[in-house]
Amino acid sequence: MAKEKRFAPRFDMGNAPLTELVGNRQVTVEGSTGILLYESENIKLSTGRMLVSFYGRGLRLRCISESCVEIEGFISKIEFLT
Amino acid sequence: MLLGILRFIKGYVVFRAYGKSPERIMNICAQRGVRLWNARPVSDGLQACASVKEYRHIRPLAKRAGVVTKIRKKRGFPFFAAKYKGRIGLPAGAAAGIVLLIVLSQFLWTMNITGLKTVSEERLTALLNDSGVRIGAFKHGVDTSQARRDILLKVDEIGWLSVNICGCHADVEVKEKIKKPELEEDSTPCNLKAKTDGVITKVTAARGMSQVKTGSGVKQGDLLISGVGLTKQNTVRYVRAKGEVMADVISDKELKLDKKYDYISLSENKSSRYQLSFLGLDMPCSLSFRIFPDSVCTQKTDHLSSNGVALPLGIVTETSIELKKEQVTPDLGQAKAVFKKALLLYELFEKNDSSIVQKDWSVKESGGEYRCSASYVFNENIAESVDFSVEE
Repeated sequence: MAKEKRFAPRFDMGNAPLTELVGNRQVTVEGSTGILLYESENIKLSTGRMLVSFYGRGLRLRCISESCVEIEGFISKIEFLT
Repeated sequence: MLLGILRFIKGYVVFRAYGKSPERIMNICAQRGVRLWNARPVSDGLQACASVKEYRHIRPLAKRAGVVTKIRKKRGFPFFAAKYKGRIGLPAGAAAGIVLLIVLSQFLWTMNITGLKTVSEERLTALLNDSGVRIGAFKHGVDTSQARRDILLKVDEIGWLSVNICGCHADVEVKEKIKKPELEEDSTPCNLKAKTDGVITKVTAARGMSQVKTGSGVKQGDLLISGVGLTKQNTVRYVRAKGEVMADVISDKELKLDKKYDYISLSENKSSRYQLSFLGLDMPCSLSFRIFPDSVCTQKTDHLSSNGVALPLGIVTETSIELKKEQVTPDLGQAKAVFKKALLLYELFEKNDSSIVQKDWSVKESGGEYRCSASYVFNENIAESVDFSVEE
């Protein structure tokens, strides 16, 4: 008997960044295209179609690669600008 | 931690980026695969760390981004080495130190022996030396199993022995055999007889029939405890008599001391020589050494120790002291002091099993000598076994 093909539901998110938060102390953004602002109270990232802005205290970039950014610190607000 | 060590070995710089938008340098570096760490914003720009090799790539990129970079600190081994480049002695000394460390760690530096009770440490150390386990031995050449077998064959008192070499330290653990209790297997009948004259003070007959009572006087050879007894059936039974018969015994001691005699003592003249002891090798350090015709020699070793462990590095001091001979003419007081000491030694070493009941002593001058007459009453065990044969 031929096996029935099953498809998982797919949501096309385009080039949307994948943002992973660990509490409000750490955030990893995959799909970042660049850092626009780097201050200890505000870090602004470009993710292609929109800008993501993290506000808080003692913010610092822990790791930067071509498409991934890891931010550490006390995050109080996240803002998306499209 | 490990990453920090690797970065230190490779060398890195702490730099600052100034300009209109210093974040651009981070983006460009990320795109080009240039790794930056500890990036943090500062008042007039951005501060980050980069390895020496990668910092060379950052400068043209920064120029393109319109950012000026400036090195703040240089850290790591390459910079440290460059600082001492002209001083060849330093790396040579470090290399020699490492080689020395490697070479010296191939030898035994310390040895510890534990578990000895009756066997002397000197005897075991000498046997271990014969088997190759000694301070200064090349540790890879030591056959611990063979040494263990040799010592177990040579020393009867040792039941188990283990030689463990850990680093440059040899640990010798010993367990001695438990001695068999001496069992009285001799069943030959015997009597207990008096070995000297005395007045009986106490009779303890463990086996056999007591023939004397407290307060009775006995002569040498008198029967004290008989080995012949009667059974309940009135038949004769022969046993090996055993017991203790305490008696007051009179003992005289005569001592003599010449009025003029030669006395040998240590003089002030001494000569010392030193040897440097290292890993069992003794290297002489002194050139002159005076030898006296009559002398005594002492040897003292001072070892360097660390944390209570004696290291195989020390100074051996050999001292020769001249003996001087002089004529002594003691007066009566001095003679009494000499006799008093001699009597004390007699009581301690010759009559150590006896207790003193009475002691009288006097010193007299007689011709060219002093004479000491001591009269003691000792309380001691006077019983001695005398075997007898039974013939039917």
